[in-house]
Amino acid sequence: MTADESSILQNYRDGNKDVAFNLLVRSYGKRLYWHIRQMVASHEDTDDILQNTFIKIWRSLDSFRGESGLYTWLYKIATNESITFLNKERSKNKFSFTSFEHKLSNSLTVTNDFKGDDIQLALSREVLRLPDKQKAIFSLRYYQEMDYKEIAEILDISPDAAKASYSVAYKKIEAALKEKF
Amino acid sequence: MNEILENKKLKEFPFDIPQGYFSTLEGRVRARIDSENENKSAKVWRTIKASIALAAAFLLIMGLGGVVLKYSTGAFNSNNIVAEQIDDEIVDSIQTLLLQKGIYTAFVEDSDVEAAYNQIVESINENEDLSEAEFEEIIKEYLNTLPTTYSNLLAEEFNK
Repeated sequence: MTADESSILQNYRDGNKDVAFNLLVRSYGKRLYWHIRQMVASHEDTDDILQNTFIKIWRSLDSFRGESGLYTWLYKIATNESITFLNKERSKNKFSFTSFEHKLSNSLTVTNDFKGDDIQLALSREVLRLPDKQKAIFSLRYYQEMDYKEIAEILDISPDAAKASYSVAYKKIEAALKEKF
Repeated sequence: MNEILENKKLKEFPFDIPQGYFSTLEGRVRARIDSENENKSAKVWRTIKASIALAAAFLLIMGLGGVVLKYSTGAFNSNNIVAEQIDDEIVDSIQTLLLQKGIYTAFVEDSDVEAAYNQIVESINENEDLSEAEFEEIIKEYLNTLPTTYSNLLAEEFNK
């Protein structure tokens, strides 16, 4: 358990709930924001999902048993919230001629808040085209640099399955980028 | 050429974030928690009652239609059809309940929540004139009995 996790849980159990809450959001806000945004693309949707994640965590902290780390639990909820959001949006798009994945990847250039260069844009587009769970695995491994055991805990799969899925995604994205650059 | 994804620049965060976003995040989440705490109980109960009435009527209609479909095509799946009627707020309430009961440690997807919701609606339909406390008790009892693979079991039950 990290120092941040211990401090959050200790303050929460000691009744210093304001301190625990502030620590929770400050310690994990940026990392979770990045992870969610790599999965759903828009700032507004990311903000909504991130707030929902913190609200759900806060309401359930009493039942947190510490079997997995708080860190893993937060990522599990954030990933699940992101996938639930994507499923809902996909369902709304089911009668459209354009695939949801295509719309999602094109949304990166609809607003002016993508500051990366062409190759970064191509990479983000390829990530958004992956199936949802594979998207989560790629984001957790490539950007967040988690090990396969942590990713496996977050997604309730085996470390070998996480590794295999990452390898497939990596090769797929690499091939797509090589065609363009 | 093999190292295209090893370029460190690709691991940098490529999005602009509104100025002050993270410094105001705590306050905004806290404001939502406070606001939802004030409104949630009464609002959710009103929505659940309305939704149950709708789902009950829908189940009845689909039940009658389903008998015909089931015997003529064998392809009727009430679980999927009823799922279309589910209000986002109800799904959210059930997800929160699942989380509070520790069930959310499994990877809960929409289909799991919908299956749980359908089962709860059936329990409610069997008991008329429930108070809010009795209703919550049914949900809690039900959630306590769920195995982590409950969605598959319920789906099988619906398709029998």
